[in-house]
Amino acid sequence: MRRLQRTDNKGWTCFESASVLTKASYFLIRQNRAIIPRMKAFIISVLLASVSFGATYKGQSIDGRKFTATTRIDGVIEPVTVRFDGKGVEVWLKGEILPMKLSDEVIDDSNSVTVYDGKREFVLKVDLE
Amino acid sequence: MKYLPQIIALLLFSASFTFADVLGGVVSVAGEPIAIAVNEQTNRIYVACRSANTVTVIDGNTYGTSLVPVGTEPIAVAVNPVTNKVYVANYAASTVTVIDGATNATQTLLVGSQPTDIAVNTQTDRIYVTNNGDNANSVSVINGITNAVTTVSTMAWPISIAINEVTNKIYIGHDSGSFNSQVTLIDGATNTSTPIPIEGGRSYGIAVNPITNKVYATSASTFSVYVITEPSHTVQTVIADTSPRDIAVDPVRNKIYAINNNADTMTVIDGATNSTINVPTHDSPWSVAVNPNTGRVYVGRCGSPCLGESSTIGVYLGPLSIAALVGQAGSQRIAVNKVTNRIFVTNSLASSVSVVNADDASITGRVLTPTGLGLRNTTVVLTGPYGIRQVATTSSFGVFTFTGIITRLNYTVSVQSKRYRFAPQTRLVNESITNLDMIGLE
Repeated sequence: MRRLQRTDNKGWTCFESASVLTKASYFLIRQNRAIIPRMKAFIISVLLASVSFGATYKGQSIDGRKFTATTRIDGVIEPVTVRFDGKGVEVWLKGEILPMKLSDEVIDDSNSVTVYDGKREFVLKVDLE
Repeated sequence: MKYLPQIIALLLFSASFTFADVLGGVVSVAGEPIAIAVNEQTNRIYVACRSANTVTVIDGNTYGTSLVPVGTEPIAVAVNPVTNKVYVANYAASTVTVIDGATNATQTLLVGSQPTDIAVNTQTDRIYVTNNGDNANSVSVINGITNAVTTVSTMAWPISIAINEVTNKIYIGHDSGSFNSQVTLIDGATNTSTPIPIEGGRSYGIAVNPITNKVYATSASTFSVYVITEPSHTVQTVIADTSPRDIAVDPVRNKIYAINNNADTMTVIDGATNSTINVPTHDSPWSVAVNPNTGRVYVGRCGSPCLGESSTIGVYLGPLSIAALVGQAGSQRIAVNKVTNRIFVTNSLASSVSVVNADDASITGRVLTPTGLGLRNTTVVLTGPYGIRQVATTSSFGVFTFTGIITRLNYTVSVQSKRYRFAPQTRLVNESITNLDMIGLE
């Protein structure tokens, strides 16, 4: 592809081979430099949205604290303790610790929190209230 | 009917795997045994029973038991054989129960919130307890003489302890954070703590080789074992397998064994080179213990809470061999009595402790001609499961011997001779066999 670089009278550089969208963005920005801070804010907010903040319940972080919970194993309701840690969750069951993962870090229903590892999956009813 | 002998042999083989034959005995204990320790001086075994809030004391000579009430949810136990004191960490009570081994009298000490692990430095008579409760972030240090408790601050969520009694250094593993964690080093002389950064968290297992002065900490988040060389705190990373947790050191052979729960493997680390091999184990390996006198390694299985009822005990025999012995249901913790060479395994769901007689067996016999004369310089081959193979040559009287045979497995003895034909003999070896005669057929 032929890429011809040229500079306009305001010192902006563009490429003739650029796509229509790129050219449109270029001219939009060139016409209104004030849009740059808003674009930066937009990009940052998109990036932040993609970054994990750990387990949350009703918008509040629940990382780093132990909660009591129950789960059903072979038809029997077993008491457990859980501690959330980002995507991970420590499940204390019968005195043993199992390192597991949350299926969804945003917990909407504390009565149905699914955790798993390579071998097993529990649906927890966690006392988050 | 063609396969009748094989069917009979199979039935005999299966029938032999009852607890009494395989394990040498099962001792009933109170509810949910979850931790175990042995006093080799008194030959007593202490079993913390979580739901019963008791410690069952097993007499290693008679296998009689007695119950000692302790605090709520005992989950860790340690013995000081020098003072004959037993220390029990009670998770829900946030206490440690001190049991006098001579009288079973108890004393209760308040420690930090939710203690998870406990270990004794027999040289200094200090006992260390990890406090894993919210914001506890500490290790309690008990003076074994006065029972006074002091607190040493650590990073959050201390979970495991290893002690180097030679250097009087205590190493604490943490389960906080998936990455950028640390091992906390406590100087036993001053009770000052120093963080040793490691990349991964969730160090459920930590162990020390006092001969090489190296510390080994598992990380279930990075699937690694971190090797800390002391006193420089130099950290090297050894890749293990999925979800390593328990770890044990054989200081005699400088081998380290890490159990990978989700991979069903055990990573064997050569302590000299940090080279590794991953050995397949039974399903859901959970705990590991070594008898440094014999070099045998014992692997316990996680039953519940790992969603499985039947349990097995693996025996690592050397380079790539694992034998599975049947245990009972529930997660298993293992203690070794090196003096009696007995292995004790908790079966948490079955409320029992399996006793394994780990003595080796031998097979001695003769190779005879059809007329009953001893056949000398004849090659005799012993083969067993998991690639076990030994070769012996007969003496001038036709006598052969195989030693160092792990019991409770089927072995086949065959003779290689150009002059006579011999039928191979297969035996289940539960104890030494002294007169296995191989007689030529023609």
